[in-house]
Amino acid sequence: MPDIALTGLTKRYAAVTAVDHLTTRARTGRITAFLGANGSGKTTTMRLLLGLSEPDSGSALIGGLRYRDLPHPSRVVGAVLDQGFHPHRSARNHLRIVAAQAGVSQHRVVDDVLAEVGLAEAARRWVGGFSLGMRQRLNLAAAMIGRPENLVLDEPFNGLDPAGIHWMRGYLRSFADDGGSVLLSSHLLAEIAHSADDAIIIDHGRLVSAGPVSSLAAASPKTRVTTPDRVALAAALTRAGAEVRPAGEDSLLVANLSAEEIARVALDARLLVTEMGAENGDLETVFISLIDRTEVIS
Amino acid sequence: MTALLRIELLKLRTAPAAWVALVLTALLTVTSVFSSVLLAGVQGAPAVGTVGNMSKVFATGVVSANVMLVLGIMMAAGEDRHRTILATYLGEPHRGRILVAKLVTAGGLGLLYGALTFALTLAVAAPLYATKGVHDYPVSIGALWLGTTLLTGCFGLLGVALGALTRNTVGAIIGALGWVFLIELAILQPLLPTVAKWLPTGAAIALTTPVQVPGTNLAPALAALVLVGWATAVALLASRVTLNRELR
Repeated sequence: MPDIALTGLTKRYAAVTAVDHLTTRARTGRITAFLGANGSGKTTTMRLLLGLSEPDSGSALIGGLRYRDLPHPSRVVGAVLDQGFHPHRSARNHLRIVAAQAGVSQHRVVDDVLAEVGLAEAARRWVGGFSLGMRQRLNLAAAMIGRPENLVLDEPFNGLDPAGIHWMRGYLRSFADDGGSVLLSSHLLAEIAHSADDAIIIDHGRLVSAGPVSSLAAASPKTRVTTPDRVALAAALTRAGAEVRPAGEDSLLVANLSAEEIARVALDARLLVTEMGAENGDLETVFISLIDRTEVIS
Repeated sequence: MTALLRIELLKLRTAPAAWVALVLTALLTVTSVFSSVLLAGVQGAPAVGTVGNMSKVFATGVVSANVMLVLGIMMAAGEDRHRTILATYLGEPHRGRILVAKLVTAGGLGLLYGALTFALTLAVAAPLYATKGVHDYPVSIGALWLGTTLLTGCFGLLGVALGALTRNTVGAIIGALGWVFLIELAILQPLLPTVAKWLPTGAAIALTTPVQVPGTNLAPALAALVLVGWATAVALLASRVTLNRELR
């Protein structure tokens, strides 16, 4: 099973550096989340990996080969980006074309994959009438048609209802447990925390952090402080060297200071604290603290 | 490459555009032949069975070529319009091969389409002429058949090349038909015939008309070379642009 390896990957568009010397790896048998704010370079990186764009320098390799040098790329990597569909083509015919492009014998595989993603009954319907969730499933079916060892998925949970998200999570876990590797981007950080084994976080095209999701979350303990004077306490804690971010209407999440230090700052500032407790960092907290751009979370 | 050609044909077979084009061409062809034969000699129209009359009857290459031009544009630009181009490039990352497959498919289909359209024209016109007592044709049917076939093939190539260049289906169709009917036929043909005869539509006219006007029309063989030259030049330009351009 080939690893996905990015080494010094760089892509510039005029004055903008979309991906900046990015070096990281997605391992086989693991679900790796690719996280970053809007415009951080996730989709560009995936396009570079899939040969849809040319890097200015560095490399994006799958099992040591560029995507375009793979003998049957669709049989090695299945991808879901923002592919579209001909609205007046049936789901089955769409997959027949994708199957032919992947060089696999068509009819049985097409019907099998449609059944796997729960679209068997919609096989003859025009894709133009599909819901967003059905299109996501059809895109996943297209990615799976070559029975690849790797999946590269850009926002695969978008448009799925809770049942669809649950189904997708199970599908990807099963794929990884069977030895496949999954690289997926998503804004749904709580979902990623449930689904992914590893996380790669990038900002402005640069690697910020990479590692197992569990260790990322545990590495960032916080104290949740509840107070009626949130703004004033946040200012006082910031002056004392804390990293502070709002958490609800009357609470703050505070890092870099112990509970006792927080209490002393509040006392010195004559501010009331009604509740205080330790809280392990969740993935969202880690993400925000790492990229320091709270406004981008959708 | 054979697999890519099969895929292009599968794409055409599984979308309505090609079938609509086929039916539309057949309808327009039959209607045109009927009206040209049945209304011959009426209100100043050339008499039935004359060269002038047969020029109109056997000018169905205009229909097949322009339908193929539009179909070619849809084959190329339609992939960007519906964003199926991503799946296409994921299946075959070498873009040049995709463009060549589309060009070969559109060119080959155009040749077939042109030949069949002319065959339909002849199949409808012959019994109609027979009922009018016309059995001898004062034009070279073989040359017109060949011309219509080549013209439709070349317009298929031009369509794919224009679609690949613009990546905009509606814009390319309006632009291409505007060029043919407005720029060339309405403006350049009457005002600058010596220039217009070297352009694609000028060459197309020379290939599909039995009335050769020296100085205005190119000889059919030269017109064929000119048309193939235009199709090749635009296809090469499309290839160069496609290979060096970022996907949207």
